Amino acid sequence: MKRPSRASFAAALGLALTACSYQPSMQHPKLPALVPIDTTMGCPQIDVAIDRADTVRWLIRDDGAKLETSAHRSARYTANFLLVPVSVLSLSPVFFRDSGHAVLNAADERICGLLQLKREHACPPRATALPERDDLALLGEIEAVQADFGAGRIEEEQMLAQRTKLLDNLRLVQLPGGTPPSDVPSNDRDR
Amino acid sequence: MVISEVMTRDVRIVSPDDTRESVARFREEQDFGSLRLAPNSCRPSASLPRRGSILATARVNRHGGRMRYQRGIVFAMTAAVYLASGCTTRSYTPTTDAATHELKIRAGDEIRVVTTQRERLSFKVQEVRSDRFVGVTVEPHRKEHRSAGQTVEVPFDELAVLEVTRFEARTATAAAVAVLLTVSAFAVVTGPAVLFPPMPGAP
Repeated sequence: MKRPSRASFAAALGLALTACSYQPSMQHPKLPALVPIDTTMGCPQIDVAIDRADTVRWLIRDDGAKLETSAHRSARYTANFLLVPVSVLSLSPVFFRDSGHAVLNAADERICGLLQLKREHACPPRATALPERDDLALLGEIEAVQADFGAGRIEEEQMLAQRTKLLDNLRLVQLPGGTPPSDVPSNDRDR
Repeated sequence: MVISEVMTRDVRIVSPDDTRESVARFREEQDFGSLRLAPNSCRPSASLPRRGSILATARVNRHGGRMRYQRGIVFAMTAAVYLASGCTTRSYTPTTDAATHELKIRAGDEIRVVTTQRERLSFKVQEVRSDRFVGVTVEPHRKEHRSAGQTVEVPFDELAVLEVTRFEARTATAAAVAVLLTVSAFAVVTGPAVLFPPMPGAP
């Protein structure tokens, strides 16, 4: 019985620290999933939509968001289940936030959906920040990682970490004003 | 229940010169079970009710008055929070020029944007053209690099995130109705004296 309680304590502590690292500098929009009308977009429009979604994703990551595993999510729900009633009774409601998982996951899924659409339309691939890999090749890697997770070859945490790492490098962006490219979020603590 | 809830400033004093009949009438009118004398004084200190609840005390407690006053302040602040919620900040990710126009951003609005080139900007809109915003940067927020006073043009094509704070009449109306309902409900339950308490130092 000792080990689970220690693990729960460690998980709760980890959650608290993770939540502290996520501090939105502005409201993060939750991007919608692709809808049927999106499939009518041409290749240039798809690229613009990818750029927009990737910028939103970059903003979220730059503010410290990270994906959480289903185990972390369960621990958070359990902690909130206990914490919220007690804190409400003490007239200062508090709860554990999700460290940006919801908005980041929505952005990831939209980008993957747009990349799939781009592949289906046979649009020309674009370069990424990763050497010798274009965006469609990057999509292939993400799908391979997710297939590995689906087959039980890797853990969920590994899958999420690899997906995050790949999508962090989707675009090569030259910031205005001559500052160096900022493809990797400035406060990326995963790397 | 706290004692201050049953205290009253409307103290009725029975004089030693009053007749027994007048005291009996007074007890009947006020529904008191008994009247007692306060120690070291000739004033009644408490009245015990017939119907199971304390109706009055003869001595006005300054502390109780302060509590009621504080409660009034809490209510006023709650109302202010409700009303302030009429001013809302929203974030958008417009995908077309038409969608950007639908946001009804006007000259004079202060907006924050993130462009697809990953530049964060806060600026006051001076002009809304068919395909872009023209404005002047304001005091930069966290992680923004442009100083205030620079003229900027942001084409709609490059807009990834747009955040605007403005007063929304619908939200404000809903908040005002919520405040009215809350205050009315509280007044029905507790009586107006708790909602609009006198100053503690008032006679």
